[in-house]
Amino acid sequence: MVTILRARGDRSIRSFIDYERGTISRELYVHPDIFEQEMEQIFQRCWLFLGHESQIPNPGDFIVSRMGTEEVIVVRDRKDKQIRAFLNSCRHRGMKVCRYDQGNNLVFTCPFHAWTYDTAGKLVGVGYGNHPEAYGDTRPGDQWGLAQVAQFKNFHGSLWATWDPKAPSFEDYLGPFTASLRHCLQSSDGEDGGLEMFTPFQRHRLPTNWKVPGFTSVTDGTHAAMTHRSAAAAGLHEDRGQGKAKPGTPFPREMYAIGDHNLGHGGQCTFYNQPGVPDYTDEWFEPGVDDYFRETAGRKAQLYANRVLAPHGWGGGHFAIFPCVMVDSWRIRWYHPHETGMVERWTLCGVDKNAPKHVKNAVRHYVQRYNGPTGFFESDDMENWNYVYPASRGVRARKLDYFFANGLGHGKYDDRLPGVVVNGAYTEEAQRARFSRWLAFMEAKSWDDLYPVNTSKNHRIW
Amino acid sequence: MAETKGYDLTGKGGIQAWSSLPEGTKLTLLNGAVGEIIANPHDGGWVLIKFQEHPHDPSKVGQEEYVFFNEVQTAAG
Repeated sequence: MVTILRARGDRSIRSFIDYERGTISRELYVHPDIFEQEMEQIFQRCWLFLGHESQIPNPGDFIVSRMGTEEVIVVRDRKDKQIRAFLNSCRHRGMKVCRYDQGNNLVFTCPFHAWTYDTAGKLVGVGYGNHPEAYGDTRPGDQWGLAQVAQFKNFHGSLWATWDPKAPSFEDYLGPFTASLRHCLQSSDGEDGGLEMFTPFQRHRLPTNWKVPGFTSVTDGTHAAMTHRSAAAAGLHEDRGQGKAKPGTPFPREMYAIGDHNLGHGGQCTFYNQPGVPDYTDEWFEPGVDDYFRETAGRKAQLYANRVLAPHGWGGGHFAIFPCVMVDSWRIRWYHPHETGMVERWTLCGVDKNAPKHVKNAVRHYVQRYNGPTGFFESDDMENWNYVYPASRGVRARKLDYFFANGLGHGKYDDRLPGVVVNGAYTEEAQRARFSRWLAFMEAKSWDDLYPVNTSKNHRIW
Repeated sequence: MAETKGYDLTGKGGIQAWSSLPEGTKLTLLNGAVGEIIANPHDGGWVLIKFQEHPHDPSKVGQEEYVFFNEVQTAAG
């Protein structure tokens, strides 16, 4: 049995979740022991999002990303041009070998003792390595290269990694959401991997637990009406409040909230009931932008003439990949835990890499209005998240439970997404699915207990 | 014929000179090996050279290796 100490005495983690009432103890969000266990049990095992290949197009290009609480260097090698990811920690004394967010390097030189690594992570030099009174035959060899992730995947331009060699393939990890992620990474004309990301990208550090935005709020259908009411009134959408967007010809579709309780992914969902794509609707304030997107939508319609759209992205809604990535068409947002009450939110916004400059500019301005320091929508969210944590962690407040019972018991399986529970569009099915998988990870000894998902085991809560 | 420029790698100025050594600069190492700089990461510690002579290990001639500043006797280019 998995136990934690000090949090209301020794209890199993399972006991903090009330299956019948659909509630979750606030202790799971505020207790440091839970956080430490999450880093070991979840963030050391899961496939985590690192960035996008368009951030490092040239040999020697690198970005510093994160996996859980730790930094990783994601670098395109100068020789074989392959992208790899390494822990940003010198093997000698643990110093960061890179202290920049992004750049282009020949080598990563540790400023402490000059242990130096090439862009394939190989140790290529140590200070005094050839000195007659230093290392001699104890000079460190190839096994002292930077610590490399166990598995790495470039999925249509998006970069993912896991520290666990026993984790399933990335596609198996995604399960029925593979097609949706591929769709979200397409350009507006349906070309695979057709995006490039705006750089530098936005990062916000928030004094809250990572699950507040990552679990509670990702694909939360009921928050927008109130939280974003003022931003909508300010006219920050694509048409800048001009009322330009007009409903197009109705396209047969159904919208839901869904949760994969076996794999933990879920969110909004649109099932399209016929091949093709919905008609393009003019919505941009800037001249010429609608002309571009109308033309690309036409090409996409031809591409999908006999295909049914994936249920997410490009108008279909966004979804979350367990544990902490939120994916929408041309936009990926993800959460890096730092400590129990501190998380960083990173947002990568993309655009068709072949789009003309005026379209790229319009999209960039839109995402700045949406996300940036002078934007509104994301700031609205973050204000909520900031205040949730201090209002939940006091000795009285933490004894209460969070309500996650919206739609509990009303979900159904649907053959269009095997194994996924489909529920009303404004229910909390996705949130419950995350906690089903969260509990499985927190109780599992290894990936042997997690994949293939053994539904005969009682590791699901909902 | 191009004039060979010698670099003074000593003192405060030497640190700056080392960090800025251009590609093509010829280095003579303390062990007598000679090589030409093919890349400088400008980190103040290392340059990448291709060996042209190596009195102790001829098999290294033509190979590339990173060289730390305190292994170098002279630099000229």
